[in-house]
Amino acid sequence: MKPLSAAALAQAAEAAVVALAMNGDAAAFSELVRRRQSGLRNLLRRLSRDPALADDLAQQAFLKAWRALPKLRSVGAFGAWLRRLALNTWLEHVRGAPPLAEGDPDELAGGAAPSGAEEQLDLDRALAQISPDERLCVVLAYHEGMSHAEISAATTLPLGTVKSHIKRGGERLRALLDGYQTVKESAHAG
Amino acid sequence: MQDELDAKLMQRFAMARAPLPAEPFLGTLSARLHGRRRFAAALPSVLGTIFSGLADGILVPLRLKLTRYVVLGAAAVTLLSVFA
Repeated sequence: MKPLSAAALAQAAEAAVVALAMNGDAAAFSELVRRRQSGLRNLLRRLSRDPALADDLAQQAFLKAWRALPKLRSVGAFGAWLRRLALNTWLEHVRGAPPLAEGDPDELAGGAAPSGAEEQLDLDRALAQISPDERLCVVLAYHEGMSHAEISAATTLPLGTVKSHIKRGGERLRALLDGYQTVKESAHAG
Repeated sequence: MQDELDAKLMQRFAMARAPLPAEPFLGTLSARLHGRRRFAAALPSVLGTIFSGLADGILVPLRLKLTRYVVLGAAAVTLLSVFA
């Protein structure tokens, strides 16, 4: 396949760019990274609560993707495949690393949230308060829009457990976010 | 059947999904990718040098005159250095 210019790659359909990258086109792979990096990094930021770690894991996932791309069965499956790689990278990290202390919102104080992204900080603070498994299931359901069955397959957690984590974690998250909102409103009023 | 999700939470997640700039992430990734490629490209030459060095170390003494004495001398020096 003939290599395309950066401008042509930016305009090309993802399936075409994936096909080029599968044939070893580094510029096409860079274009895929450009398109997908934000979603993948945001997913890992919600899971890890640490922007630097999230970016490092995202890089590891992209490096794995570059090596494994020739084995990808269908160009249309690239997005889900990449997300699975990122998720596996996260799970490998969690299994190999000491668990993060739960319920420490101050950990997020140094986070690289863009200015004005108050919702993002609130959400990360609230996510820090729920258990790691609940967080994993809630993030995959709400951030990634994965079905309960897909989450069960991706995390190897039983479907019933996934459902209960999403229900209980979601309720807790909602209560925490409402609590933050109430505090803010009373601070503004006072 | 669609899995039931809290609409307000979905909205909160959507609001928090701010697009992140590609740089410097892309630059760092590119450097890591090229670093691995350079290493992969250099690997055959590094291995070749190591093996040719080992082969020379073994073969060159055998080509010398009085090889038997040279080999015996080398073995004696090795043993002395081990047990000294």
